[in-house]
Amino acid sequence: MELQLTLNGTRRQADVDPRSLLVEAIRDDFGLRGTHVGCATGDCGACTIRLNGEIVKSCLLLAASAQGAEITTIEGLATADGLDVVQQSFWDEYGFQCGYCLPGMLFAAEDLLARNPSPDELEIRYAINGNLCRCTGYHGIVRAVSAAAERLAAR
Amino acid sequence: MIPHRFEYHAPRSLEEAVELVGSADGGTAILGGGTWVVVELNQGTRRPERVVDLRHAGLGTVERRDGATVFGATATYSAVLAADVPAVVREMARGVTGGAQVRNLGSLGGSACYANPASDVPGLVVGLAATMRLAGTSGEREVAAADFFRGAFASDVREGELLTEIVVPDLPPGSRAGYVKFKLCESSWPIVTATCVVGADGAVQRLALGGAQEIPLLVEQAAGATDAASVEAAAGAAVTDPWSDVLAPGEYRRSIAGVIAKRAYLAAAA
Repeated sequence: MELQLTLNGTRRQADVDPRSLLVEAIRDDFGLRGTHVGCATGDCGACTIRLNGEIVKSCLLLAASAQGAEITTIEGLATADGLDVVQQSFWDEYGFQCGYCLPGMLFAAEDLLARNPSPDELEIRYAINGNLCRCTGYHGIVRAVSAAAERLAAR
Repeated sequence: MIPHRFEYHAPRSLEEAVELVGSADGGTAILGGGTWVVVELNQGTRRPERVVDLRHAGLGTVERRDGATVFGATATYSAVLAADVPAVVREMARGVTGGAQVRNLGSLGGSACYANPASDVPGLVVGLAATMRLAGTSGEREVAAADFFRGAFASDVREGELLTEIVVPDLPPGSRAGYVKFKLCESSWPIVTATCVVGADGAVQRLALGGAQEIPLLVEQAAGATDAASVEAAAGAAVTDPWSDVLAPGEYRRSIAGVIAKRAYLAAAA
């Protein structure tokens, strides 16, 4: 089937097997491999994208369900000027090691900070609770989200 | 990649959805949010000839109507959290496992139809005496939530039908409801849930356990109880055929059911 998307601000289309999950179409047909497949059961969060303004796990959607949608993937967060504030905070605060969970952690953090610019630690932990990280023990991630909140507030 | 081929339809209205579901000769999977069904398709454990995706069918609203809160079948947990809904429903939606990325997809109606014993929605809708509204080519019908769940992963939705709305009636004046779920860790599915409605006089009006047995258990012996110990005893004794799954054996569920019920009572009575 012909799948049309607005992907990271650009209109794209590709010939996609109708049996594909959305994450498979993003990775294999549109060539954006930053969106990861961890579990394919909706548990780990590594396939997180923003779909029409809301963060979702793209292994839980058929590619066909996204026809015409506006999608941001992890590749769409940084700009030509460099990493965005949340990404830079993860970098500075050791918010990742292997980076596999980053799509979920970054989008969950961005989503939280857009709604709540000064979250406390519990609110941060609640916001990232749909994501599994096997490297950091979450401490660096919580620090990174706090740091991002402070940096955004200081702007 | 889903291992088998199937037809995909995304109807643009309820009428179109009813026609699609009604005209299929078996083998139809209905997608609400997809958080359960897409996984089954991908794992090859469910191989329908036709997939009917309700995301554009206009069933995602939450509204107040005639002394009730009416949840469209595909209203997501996030839509519920953004709407004017009873506090106890909010409490349930907020605690759904899987993070914002699942709450933005998963729906109350989908969860009810999937009827996983170890999930939040079935026990809650039974506890709140909700009514389930269904539509099919032969017309519409209503089923009390307490009659909707037929077994583990089995609901009263018949061939050719789909769920359209969940109607949660307002509590009587002065009544309050509490919802408590126990799970093993943040990423666990519910082990046992309890929904308790307490009247203005402090007596239990309704208590339902989720996750304890194959289908939600209405604990009739708890009605009228006015103290936590009685609620705990009634709930504990009511579980006679406990549900087991990979997360917890039945004996464990049976042993904690009373305590979870007590907590829901205390949350409502507080």
